Amino acid sequence: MKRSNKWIAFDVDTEVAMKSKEPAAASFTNVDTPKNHLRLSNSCSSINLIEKLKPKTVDTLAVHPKKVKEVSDWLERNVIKRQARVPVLVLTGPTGAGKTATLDVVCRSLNINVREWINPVDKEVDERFYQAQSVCFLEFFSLAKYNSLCDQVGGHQVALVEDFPNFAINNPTEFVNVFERCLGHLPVVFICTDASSSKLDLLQTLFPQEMREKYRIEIISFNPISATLMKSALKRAQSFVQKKSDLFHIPTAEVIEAVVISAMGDIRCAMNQFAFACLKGVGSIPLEANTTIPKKRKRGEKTAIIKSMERDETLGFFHALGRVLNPKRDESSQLFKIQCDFESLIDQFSTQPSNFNAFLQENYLKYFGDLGDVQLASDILSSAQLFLANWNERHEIMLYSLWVGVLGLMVHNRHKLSRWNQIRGPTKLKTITNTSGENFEMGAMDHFYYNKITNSDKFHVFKLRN
Amino acid sequence: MESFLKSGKLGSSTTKVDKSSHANNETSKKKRSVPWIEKYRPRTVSDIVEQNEAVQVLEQCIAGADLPNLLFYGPPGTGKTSTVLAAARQLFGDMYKDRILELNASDERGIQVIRDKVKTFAQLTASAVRHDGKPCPPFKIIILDEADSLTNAAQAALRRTMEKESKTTRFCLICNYVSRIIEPLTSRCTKFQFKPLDESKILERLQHIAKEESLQIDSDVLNALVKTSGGDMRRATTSLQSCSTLKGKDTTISMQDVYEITGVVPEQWIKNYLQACKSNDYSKLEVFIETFILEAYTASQILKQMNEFIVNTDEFNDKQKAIIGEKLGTVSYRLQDGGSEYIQLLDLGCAIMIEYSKT
Amino acid sequence: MSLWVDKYRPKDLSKLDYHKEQAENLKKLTHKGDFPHLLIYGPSGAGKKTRIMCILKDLYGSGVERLRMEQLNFTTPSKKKLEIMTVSSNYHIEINPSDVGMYDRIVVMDLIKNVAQTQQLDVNGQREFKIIVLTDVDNLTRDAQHALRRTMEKYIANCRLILCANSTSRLTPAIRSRCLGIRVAAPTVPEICCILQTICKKEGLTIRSEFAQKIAEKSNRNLRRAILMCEACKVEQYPFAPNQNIAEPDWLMFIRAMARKISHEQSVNTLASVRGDLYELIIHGIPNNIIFQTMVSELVKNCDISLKAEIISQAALFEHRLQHGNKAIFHFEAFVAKFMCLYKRFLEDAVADVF
Repeated sequence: MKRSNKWIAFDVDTEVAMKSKEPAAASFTNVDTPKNHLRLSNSCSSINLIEKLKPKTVDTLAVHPKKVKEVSDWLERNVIKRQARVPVLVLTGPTGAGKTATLDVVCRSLNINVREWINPVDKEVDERFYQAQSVCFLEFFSLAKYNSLCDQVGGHQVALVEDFPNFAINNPTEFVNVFERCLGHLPVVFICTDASSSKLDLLQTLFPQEMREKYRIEIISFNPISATLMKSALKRAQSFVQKKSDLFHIPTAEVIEAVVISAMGDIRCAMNQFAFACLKGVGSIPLEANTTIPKKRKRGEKTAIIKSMERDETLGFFHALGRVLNPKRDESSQLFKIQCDFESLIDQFSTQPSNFNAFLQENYLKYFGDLGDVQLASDILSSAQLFLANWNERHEIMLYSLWVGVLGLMVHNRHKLSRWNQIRGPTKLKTITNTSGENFEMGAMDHFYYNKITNSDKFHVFKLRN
Repeated sequence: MESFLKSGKLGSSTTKVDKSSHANNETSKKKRSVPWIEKYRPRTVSDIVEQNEAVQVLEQCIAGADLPNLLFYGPPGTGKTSTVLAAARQLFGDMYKDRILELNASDERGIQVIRDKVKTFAQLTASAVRHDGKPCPPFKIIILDEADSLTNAAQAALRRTMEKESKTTRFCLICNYVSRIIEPLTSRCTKFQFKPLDESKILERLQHIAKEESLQIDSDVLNALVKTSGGDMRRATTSLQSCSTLKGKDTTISMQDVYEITGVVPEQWIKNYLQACKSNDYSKLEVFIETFILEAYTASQILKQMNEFIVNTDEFNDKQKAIIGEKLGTVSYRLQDGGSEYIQLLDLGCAIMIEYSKT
Repeated sequence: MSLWVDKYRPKDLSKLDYHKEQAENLKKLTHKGDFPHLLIYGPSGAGKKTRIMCILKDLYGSGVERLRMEQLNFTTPSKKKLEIMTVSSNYHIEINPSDVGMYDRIVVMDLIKNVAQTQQLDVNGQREFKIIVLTDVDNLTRDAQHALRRTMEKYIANCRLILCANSTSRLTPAIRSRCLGIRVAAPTVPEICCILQTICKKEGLTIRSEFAQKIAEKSNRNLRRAILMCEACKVEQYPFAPNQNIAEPDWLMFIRAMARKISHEQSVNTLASVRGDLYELIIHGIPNNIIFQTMVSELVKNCDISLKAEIISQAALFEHRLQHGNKAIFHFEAFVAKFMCLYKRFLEDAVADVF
């Protein structure tokens, strides 16, 4: 329990965030937590479980060890040894890549205190003492360097900004001004999550190239959690749950597999799903929920998880491909109904129908289990391609092409192979032309004889394979 | 001479007409190739072969020194452009080059052309007096050749211009398919349909040209030329010129040459094709098509000739003809659109083969 | 070293080995004042290029044989840089506009304009025009063809075009009617035999007429290929043995093997492996229509007549689609899948009939 207490102390949550504003109150909650904790876990395990599943040591992080090393190196150099004058670090990566968790865990292992800026919300605004947010932000930096009472004495400090102040998003230039003024107080770590739209891409808007160079901002970018790492993290979680089998339902290996796939490298999403799966068997959940677990309906359960725990509403390109190539059908009814919001899917890729279709074509074969289906699908793709080729100046027709391609593939895949396939990019069909100068008139079809006559292998030789 | 220099802004073919008018005076030293089609263009409206209806109306108009807006439509080579040029020549005499703007719509399509070229030309004023003091009609003519390939937007833009400049400008739209001209435009013009020329009329004309150019050519060879032209005077004339260019003036033009120039596939090949289909032997058909392509005959041409044969033959009933006809249409479209001759001809062959096996 | 194909290429119209009457006519044409635009068409290996070079030599003398390769650069309105290889002499320039794909219109227009605006520098030259040779014109886009017909008329005073095509089907009638068409049929088998024997004689080799005949037949009336085959045979084994193996091009064998694979097993896996083969063929420059044609004629071999008809009609459909856009693989694959289905059904029916 002691460990867990420590963990809570460093947790970057709203609760703790208040701490940086009101250290005394925060420390109070800190002390109080263990008891709460125990009580909660008896009544309702869910919150507790997710908390418990959070990594506590460097070894339990699902992030790739190299990234962890990079972060800890930076912290050691800049926070403990204070080598750089104005140490600034930016962590980037997709949602759920473990950026915050890594920072927390590493800081703890190095005995560094994290002060996080949280946008003040719902503060009772007193008209007379109204402060601009930027002023609050500056204040936070100047105050943060002082140790709070409850921290371990002699610890180093690092400021963390993940929740970017509103003014930064609305007005990047103002942010730059403020940023310059608050430098030097403390080492700062910014966490920018990758966003799909360029407007929300904080890394680019707030830390443009020239600024990065000027302040020697270091950037460590995180990748989505790889499937193997995620799996081992889930295994750890499973073993944890097993110890408390009286409280939790223990998810089967299949469920874990499904969770790994559907999370698409998002560890937070995976953990939430895992916790959700653990709950299902608990007596407090109505019985019919239990019936979804039996082995026979494993697949249905899997899709249910995936459906309910969509990573986010903006699909990644590859995720969308996966949806088209591996269509989910409503199997309960006789009707051929596809469970997918393809309208939004098509809307999203409306700017690149040609590219999307090329990806589909490159990959669809691996998902089809029947020749007849393939024939229909290839015919569809061929027609879609025809649209693209003939009317490429008319956007609405290019959209039709996308419709035809996407729906055609989904509808015709009646005997699908559900296995994990790596998505490949379209093959580049750049013809290798001979522009060496000599033999200008030598066509590709005569190369064979040229090779033969000159006894060379200057040109490509088609080898028969069996 | 001044007017000659000004002619730079006119369409290219009118410039050539100008040269052709001087061609007789020029010595053979400076041999510029003048297309015979320009050289032997009819000079007056009454010279126009056939097309009585149009000729009559136009002659009356010319007598009254005015023209309505015109819309000529009909298959190529039936004298549409010639008619309007002849009319202009009669109306304006020598200075007709100044008074017409000829635009080849399929070259410079789009609304911008209509806006810039047509409007600026239409806004020029035309006096009612010639340079030499004689009176002439106070308007200009804008000839829009191949108007059916104008975009709809361009046609719509034309509509307004036509009305606004009606005092000083007459329009003459020339097209193959009247259905491609938007309704508001057709209603503003007097329409004339040009029918394919009678073979005897083309023959007459070719004989005239042959005599003028002192060609050595038999009348049955001329006949063959006329046959291949399909009522298209321009094609007949250009083919004749090509024959003479290739063979030179001192040798006789043979039937073989005519076929070679016009790209007509000799009758024998059509027969062989059908024979191969009739045999119900796929390999024979394949061999035939391979040789046909090796001999470098034009596939689209054989389709045309096949079509004629299929329509007139007694070997098939109407339903079969319809089936083959549909295939012919499809195949011909695909060929034009870039399909491979080998596969498309095979496709047609197979379709005919199936129909043969049914009879 | 130069290949026989280049070494024994006739350099003069009067030295051409076949189509002698046509050569005669061409000679007359070059001596006359008005030289029209030419459209030379015929299957590959029929001697179109040879004839063009002969015509050029007849027009300008041996100066046209001093060739240089040059890379020309063009810029599209959208500021895309295009590079294209040209072969030129003082009197002519030769390009293959289809090398730049959909931008061929710009290349054709710019080139003709440039050539037409530079007057012939050689004052003593007996011609007042330059020649532009455009090869592979049947692959020109519609756009380029339209542009061509206008430019052809506009600049006729300073330059003439010689267009070289495999077939005229794809050319718009407007272009065809503006050129004097010269049909170059493939040489017949006896003609090829004769040429092979002449070449061998000049090389100091003996070739039996039966063997020459065999090569000529194998070459599919493609003179170029026949000569290459002959030389390859010589490298392999000389003196020629009557039953000596005449190597066929590797890509041909490759396509045949692919077709066999398709007929052998109809499954998704085969389709996937066929796709790999097709990629290889396309990447190494085998023209799409050749691949398609060879594949089709190979595939229909084991079918009965009604199935053949059906397959051919499908082939015609997909082959036509193939011409659009630059993603041929879509249509290839659709056709192969279609064939597999039809053929599988055919085989199943055949088995059902037996029992």
